[in-house]
Order: sequence, then C-alpha cells, then structure tokens
Amino acid sequence: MRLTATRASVTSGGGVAITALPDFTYGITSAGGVFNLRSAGTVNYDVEWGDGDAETSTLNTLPHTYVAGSYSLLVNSSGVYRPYFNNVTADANQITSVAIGPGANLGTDLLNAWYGASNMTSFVCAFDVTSGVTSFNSAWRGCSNLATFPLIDTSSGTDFSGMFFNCTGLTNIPSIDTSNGTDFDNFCKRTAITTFSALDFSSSTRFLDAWYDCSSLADFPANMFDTTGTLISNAFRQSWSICALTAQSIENILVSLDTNGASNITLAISGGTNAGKTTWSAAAVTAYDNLIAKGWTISFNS
Amino acid sequence: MGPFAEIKWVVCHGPDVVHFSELSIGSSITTGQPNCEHFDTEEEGLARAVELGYERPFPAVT
Repeated sequence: MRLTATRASVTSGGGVAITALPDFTYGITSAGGVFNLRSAGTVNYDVEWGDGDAETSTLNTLPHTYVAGSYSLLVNSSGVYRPYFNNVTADANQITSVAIGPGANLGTDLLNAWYGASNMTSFVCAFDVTSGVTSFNSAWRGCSNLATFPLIDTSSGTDFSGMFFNCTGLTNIPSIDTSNGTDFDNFCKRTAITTFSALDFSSSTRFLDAWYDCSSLADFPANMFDTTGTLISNAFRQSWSICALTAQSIENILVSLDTNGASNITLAISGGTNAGKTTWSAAAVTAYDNLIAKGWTISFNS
Repeated sequence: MGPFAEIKWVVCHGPDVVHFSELSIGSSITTGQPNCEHFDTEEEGLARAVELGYERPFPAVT
C-alpha cells in the first residue's frame, strides 16, 4: 500500500502515532449489494473496501458487493486518479462523504466527478490538490445534501460550468479563485444561496443559467462584470431568472454590465421575486436604458 | 413586450444577433434589436430562432 501523507497524533500513553492519510476516503452506506467504484482515464490504484477486503486495480469501474451497512472506503494511487461517478445514481447515491488527502493527484479534469451523489453530506479536500484542475464542470452537480463546501485551489480552473448545479442544500459559495474562468453556465443553478460573494470574472465569457432558480438569492455584489472576456450573445440568458434579487442587487448587475461596454447580449432578471422595475433606482434605470440602446434584450419583472 | 398571463418564448433579432429567451408569467421584455416575436411553445420559438441563425449554446439541461 502506498502511503502518500501521514497524520501524527499523541497517544494516551504519551507516544506519537503515525497514520497514513489516504488519497481518497469515501463514506459509503450500502443497503446491501454492489457498489461500483468509478473513475476515468488511465488509473492504477489500491482500494480498501472497509469490510476487510482490499485489492489493486486498473479498472475504471470496479465492483464490490457489500452487506448492508456503512463503510469507510480508502483509495490510494501513485498516479492521476480521477473520480467519475457521472450521475450513475445507483453508485453515486451510496456515497455519504468524501475526504481527499494532500497526496491525491486529481489531474486536470473533474468533469462529472461526483455528479449525482445526492446523499453526500460532507466534502473535505486538502486545498492544494486541486491546483492543477482546469475543468470543474458538473463536479458536484446534484450533490443536493451538501450544505457547505470547502475553499479549494481553483486557480487553474477555466471551466466552472455546472460546478454546483442542483446543490439545492448549499447555502454559500466559497470565495474560490475564478480568475482564469471562462465558462460559468449553470454555475450555481438551483442552490440555496441568499448572498453571492464577489468572485473574479475577468476572464469570463458566458453565464447562461448561472444563478437560475436560486429562489432565495437576494444580494449580488457590484462591479462583478466591469471587466470580462468577450461575452457571447446569450451570455446572460436566464442567468438570474427565478431569483429574489433586491433593487440594489439589480442596480449592481445593470450598472456593471453597462460599464462592461458589451453590445447585443441577452439578459434575464425576471421571474421569482426579483425586484420589479417600478422599484429600481434611477441608476438602475439609466443603466437599463443604456443597455437597450446597445442592443441588449432584457427580461424583467414589471 | 408583456407582461403575459402565460409563459412565452421570445425571439429578438437584428442583423448581427438572434436572442432566444423564455419569459415567465408576469414578466416583461425589452430589446434594442429591431425585431421581436413571441411564441406559445418553446419548440415554435426555437424553430424560429434557429431559422434566423440562432445556435443552441449547449445541450438542454434541466
């Protein structure tokens, strides 16, 4: 078994115990039956299933039969190991927690990694292990019982689309580094956030459905879009549909988009309980008028 | 345009761009494009948008 990192702890007798930190620790709750450990790409890993069985494998879909119960499944790999549950719910739904140790090598692509893990209540990850990941596309999509999310290194990330899509229990998006992010489609669609903290969108080009149906989202910061990449014509299609944006938040969005200077783009701030146009500030109305004059199409609550 | 008592699908277009939007009940839409048409179904609206050169940005997700 490869040991990638260690944890030191003081024993009751005053000695120091050294224990290995696995690359991945999955909490599994099985009703009895097969769980397939799923990964993608070329892999070579050791797995301890938590019931006394262990093996080494190069398979992307490795089955194991559990008797009903809860288990701690450990995975270690000397090379890249990329989880890929890809909404195979029969397996993903058995995951209750994920902990990633500092020795893990996730490679560059977390596409659909834990997509569909709707019973996952805890995700813990050493900050640095995601430093090389460029795609977070749908990595935690559908993790609907995840209430919090740790700060991880996303500084190499370019594709953040669907990262938290349908994480309906998630109340906060951490201040992750999105400075290289270009794609934010479905970014946190249908989450439980009430406030969106400022992120760096200076490289961004698209936000289709990004905050769609965040029905409690009231507060959105100013200046988020003052500088972006080259926005596509549907960049903000349904972006804030079915939210609860205050008049101040709508002013923040419209003024920043006007500052951006882009033309001929579609934008939705309609539906839900988004503040109606009759309640908007003069600054918001001016920005709205400027955007229409620049060819924008804007849907809004009357 | 709007508000409407039912969901509409709206195609706004000009020489440089085609916008395709869903308009929820009670919402309105304004455009700086010279043309705007509304449809009762997504299929009708999308067909018109595609006819005008609209490209779906990604596979439909729900």
